[in-house]
Amino acid sequence: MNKTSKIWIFLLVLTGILMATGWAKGFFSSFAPNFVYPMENGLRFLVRGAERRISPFFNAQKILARNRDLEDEVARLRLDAVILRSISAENRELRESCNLPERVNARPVRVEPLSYGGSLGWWQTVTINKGEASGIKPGDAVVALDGLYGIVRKVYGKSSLVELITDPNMRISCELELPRDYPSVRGILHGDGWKTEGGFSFLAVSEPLRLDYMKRELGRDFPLPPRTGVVTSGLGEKIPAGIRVGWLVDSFVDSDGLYRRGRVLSAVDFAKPGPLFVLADAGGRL
Amino acid sequence: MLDFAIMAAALLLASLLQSVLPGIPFGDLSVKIQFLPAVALYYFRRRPWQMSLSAALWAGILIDGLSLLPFGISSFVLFACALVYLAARDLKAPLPRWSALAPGAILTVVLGFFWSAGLLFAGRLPQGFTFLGAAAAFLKASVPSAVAAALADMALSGTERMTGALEEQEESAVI
Repeated sequence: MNKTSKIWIFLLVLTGILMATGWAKGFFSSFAPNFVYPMENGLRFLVRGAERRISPFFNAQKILARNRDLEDEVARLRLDAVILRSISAENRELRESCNLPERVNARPVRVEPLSYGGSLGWWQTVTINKGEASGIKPGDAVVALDGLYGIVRKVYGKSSLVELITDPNMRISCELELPRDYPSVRGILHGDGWKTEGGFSFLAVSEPLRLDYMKRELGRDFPLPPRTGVVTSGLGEKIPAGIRVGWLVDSFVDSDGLYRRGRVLSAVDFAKPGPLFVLADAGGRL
Repeated sequence: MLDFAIMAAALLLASLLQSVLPGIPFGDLSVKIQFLPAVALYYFRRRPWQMSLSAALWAGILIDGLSLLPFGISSFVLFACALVYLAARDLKAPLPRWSALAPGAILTVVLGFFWSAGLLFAGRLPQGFTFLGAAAAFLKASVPSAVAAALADMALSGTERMTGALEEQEESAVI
């Protein structure tokens, strides 16, 4: 047996022992994402760079118009920030005088998606380009400007795996935004996956979300306003309360007759979610 | 060790392609083209047993690490598939081009079955999952995965011949 064969056998036996005994399970579990992350990040950098160089040739007018709109929006947001600063100070004084906790102490971390679906594609997941090094922890909420996007499930050195709210395995406690004289209504939101038109289609559309276990009397004794807002309730997971999830489109009593179930149109367009943020160190209410 | 570097580069490229390229939807499920098993299949077909089994373990580690599968399930299945292939193969028989198509398709379906079974025993099947639906999804994905296996076979054998790794290993294959 030559030296090369001995080295291969040694590596094989070592890997097998480490896997069988579970001593290096943490290392092996995070090895793949850390191994692949530099390439995914590099690919994203190349694609973005190519888009920036090529798109002006085809979309010059659109880019100029978008630039003007963005400048107007920035000016409006700067004015809002000035007004909100005084409101925020007043709010803080009132909360202190009433001994209420801080409204929100989340630290938004800007992230970019690197890839979708992982290595299998069964779960609706997104790999993002920030991880433990940026203070992200499992359970942190990921939000787009329009609302809740997903929840961080696994965290590695410089990347994280996010499960989307459209995943059928996702369960989030939510509540309806109702007028003050209505009783509070909570339910469990879960995704309904996506559907293709036929067996050979390569396009899939996200199904509406579902809100289960709501009070059965809702809608009968308390008519629902059209397009009632659905927000996170803050119960259970580390997701702050008050993050927009979507709007209740309709509701009906489920087949058991015990609860009411509703369909929720998500606030976020998952095809083009826009800028994404992880709410690190989150708690309280938005 | 040139062959080690080639295997590492092939696994890295396969991981990148498998995670970046979109999945193939079928009903409620979506299945990605299996590039990592395609690389492992090359080593099952053409290389000594110690490289084949190593490729099986490491490809499995990468598949599990990049998904929500329980750790070790892919390595276990690929290792078992490697043992079966090693017992049945004849290293002296010629391997025509595109002869990796059928094994690539079969490996994808076998992996899909064992992933489903493993998730069932671990109590972690995705919501709304059915075995029939999964079988149909993997059959659909087996076609592009078979093509990936054939392309990986041609690319790796060409690379190893160009770099001289294949000649080195042919001399050292006999134990």
